[in-house]
Amino acid sequence: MKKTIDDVLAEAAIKDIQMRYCRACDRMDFELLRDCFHPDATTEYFGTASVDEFIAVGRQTLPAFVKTTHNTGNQNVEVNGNTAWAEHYTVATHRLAADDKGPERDFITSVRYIDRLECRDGDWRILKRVLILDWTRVDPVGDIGKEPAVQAGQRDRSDPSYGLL
Amino acid sequence: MQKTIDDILAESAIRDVHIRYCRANDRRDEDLMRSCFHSDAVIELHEPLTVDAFIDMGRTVLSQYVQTWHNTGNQLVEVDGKTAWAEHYTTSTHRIAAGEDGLECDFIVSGRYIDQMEQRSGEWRIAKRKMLVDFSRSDPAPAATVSLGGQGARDRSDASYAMRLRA
Repeated sequence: MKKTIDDVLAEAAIKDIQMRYCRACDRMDFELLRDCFHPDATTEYFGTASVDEFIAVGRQTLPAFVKTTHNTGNQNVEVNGNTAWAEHYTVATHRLAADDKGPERDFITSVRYIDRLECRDGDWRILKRVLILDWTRVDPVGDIGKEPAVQAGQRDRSDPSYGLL
Repeated sequence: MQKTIDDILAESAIRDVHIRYCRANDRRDEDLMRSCFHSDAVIELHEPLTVDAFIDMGRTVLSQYVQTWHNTGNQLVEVDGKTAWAEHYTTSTHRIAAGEDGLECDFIVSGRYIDQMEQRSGEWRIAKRKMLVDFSRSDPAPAATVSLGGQGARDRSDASYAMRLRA
């Protein structure tokens, strides 16, 4: 089936949502996280949750990590009028501080987000999101000698990316 | 040279083909795999193969792993009328079942797929594909226990199928 410019515009908006979702997690920006979803959306990560419940879990779990990066590769989007399906491949790396279970380490999860999306009043957002955890691994951080001489990211609005908005 | 809307439409269709190729491997969806290629396509991973021979080989190779994950970053596409060239960077992680040491292992391949694409009857598909391996590594994969998310499946029982809008 030949693509139209409308397909590509819808796909671009839908792909952006996933980029914003990743940014929202990594900067712990819960307003941005909420914006990814319609108010009546549901998520299935640990059973079915409303947007409020899902955000409450995020507020609780994300601070347990030293930092996170959610990096998305494949984005498969199929648009059908005002609804769409999407599958996003994301490698989420969670840095864990040294504790009684081991030294500093990265908990790496390779996940797929499966979405049903709807366009309401011209605005594409997620209506249902299912998380599939394909595989995980835990890697020691190792000693790189010294920190790279590049500015560090922040997990809140003091991150330099906000200053350039 | 300035891009046109037609360039963007073609590039988008071409990028999608490779993303579907990745999904086809990881879900072992042979219909989806076949849809990435023109029927007379040639696929060269080790030696040139027809689409049928490539799918047969994939069935054997993929079944050796517990899990595969073909994840794509760079996608460079150059369109010239009804033909195009594309290069896709894909990191493929192949999870190998635990051996005598009790550890699973990830065989990680950083590869590039180089394509000659053709648009026939309005549809972009691969006419010729070469796969190049830039580096590979094998890393033991210490298990992590998490109770998060659903489990993926390498067939149509994967939750992603039930949520699709198209058959």
